[in-house]
Amino acid sequence: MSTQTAPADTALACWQQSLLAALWAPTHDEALDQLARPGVAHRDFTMRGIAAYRSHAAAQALRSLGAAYPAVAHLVGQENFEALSRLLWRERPPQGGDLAQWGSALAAQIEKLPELVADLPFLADVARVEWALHSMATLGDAQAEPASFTLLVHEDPAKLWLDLAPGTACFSSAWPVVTLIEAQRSTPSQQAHASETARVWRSGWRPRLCKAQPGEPAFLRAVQEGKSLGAALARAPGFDFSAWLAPAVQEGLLLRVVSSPARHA
Amino acid sequence: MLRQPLSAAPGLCEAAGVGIGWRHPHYGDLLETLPSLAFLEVHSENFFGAGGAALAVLEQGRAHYPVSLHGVGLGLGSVGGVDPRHLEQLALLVARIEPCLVSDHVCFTHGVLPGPATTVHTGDLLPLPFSRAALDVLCRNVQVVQDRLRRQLLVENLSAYVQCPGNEMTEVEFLHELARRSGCRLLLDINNLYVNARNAALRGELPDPQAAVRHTLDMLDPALVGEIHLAGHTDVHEGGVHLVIDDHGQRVCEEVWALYARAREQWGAIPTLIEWDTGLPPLAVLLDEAARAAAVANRAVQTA
Repeated sequence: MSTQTAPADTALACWQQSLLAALWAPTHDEALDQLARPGVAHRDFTMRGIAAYRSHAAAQALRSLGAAYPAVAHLVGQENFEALSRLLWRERPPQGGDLAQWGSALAAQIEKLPELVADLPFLADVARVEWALHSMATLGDAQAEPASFTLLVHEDPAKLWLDLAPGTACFSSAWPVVTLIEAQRSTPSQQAHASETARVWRSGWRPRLCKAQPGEPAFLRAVQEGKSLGAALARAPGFDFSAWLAPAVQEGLLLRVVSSPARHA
Repeated sequence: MLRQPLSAAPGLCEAAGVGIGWRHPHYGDLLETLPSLAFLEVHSENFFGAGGAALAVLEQGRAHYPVSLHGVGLGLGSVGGVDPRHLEQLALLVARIEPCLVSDHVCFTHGVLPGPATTVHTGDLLPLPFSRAALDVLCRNVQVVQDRLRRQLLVENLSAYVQCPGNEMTEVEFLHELARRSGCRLLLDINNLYVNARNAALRGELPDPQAAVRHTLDMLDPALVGEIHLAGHTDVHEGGVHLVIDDHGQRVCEEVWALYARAREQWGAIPTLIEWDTGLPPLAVLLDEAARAAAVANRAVQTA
């Protein structure tokens, strides 16, 4: 956004900057220093008004972040999550008016908190996967073309390209990130301690999550880089395409197959 | 320089009844029951994505009702100008939904923090002084938005909890000048007027809040008013201070209903919205409030 200010607007700019400074002041007392110094008319009302705006900001931060990170909230507990949302709001404030898009920096913020990392070393990875799930919800829609899958039967894989669902990505982690996130939705059948690679994608309108197959991250990355099916398979030697294909179609991960890179989405 | 009035919004006539704010908890109920309403109003920013479930639901709603796009993030009074990315997203949504009304607020929302010069968006509606400088900024930004959208914008008066320094005119003079210079129309939130008047009374500045709002309504040029908002508010007692908060979390109070009746008697048909944003009750409660607003409007027509 533009930040240029015309000279005639100086007093107005000062007012706006003072109120912004009050909202982002680390403590309520510092906020009052901006706008409610002793001697200001109706100081008690001004103090209460600033508190109302600051409370609203804290509630906005918590609501926005809570919508994006339910597993992180569950893992750290309500009180810690509130503190985390206030910290992120202060350290990495929203820069646009669509607050649903604010909060992508949570994983990086978590990694700057040594105590939290020591207690919950998997938390930043969980946050990365949850942000991917959250942000894919508003991506452009894409329709599957089931008839195109017949190309896989007859055509040379070197001359075929795959279109994947919106939001498709893989996240490798030393921690059981998929199990940890799914535990918010259902009770896991067993406690997992192994490392996991998460695959996320949007099936229709629904963000989905599962454990990736061996070799799948390299395969999907190559597909998304525009490689042909044959070239993508060559990039992922341990990947079992035949086992992957049917579920990928059924779960809306693979949307269509095309025989020309120009038609590749 | 005065702006030429822009063309009327498509669908404005059919929307000249009572609508409700359509929020997430009521998406399913409303689409299943399709109650009789003149229009639905949604917050534009909740539908800024290129696709997804929320936008699909909005398109389903649009298939049955005129839709008003009410923004909370443009920051028309922000000295740094309107965020071009935000405006482009709004323009895409307007093209897709073809709303009956497009509106935002007399406020600032974003700016640069002192110190390391961080640009921030507050996610809140922050007050402006009724000054010539604020008017210049608002008119400039409203014109940018109207030029991009190629349609008229409605701009809503604000409830405020801190007093801005540097007022140079009354709120009515400020709003009139804004509409006349920019070519926008006004979205008059009667509850916001009443909340501000109640808080002024609590500060000892006014003897009678309702009389103060009546005076404001009498002074307003009805030709400039394109929509009315009605909502509830909450009295908060904290730290020895009594403050009225415009939380959109209650039924409309009796005083605001009386003020609305007066406005309708004087002004005639104007699209009216029941807003409810926090602690949402069942849809039936909003429909009950909408029915009451429609009854007030009908009585006003019979009286006229």
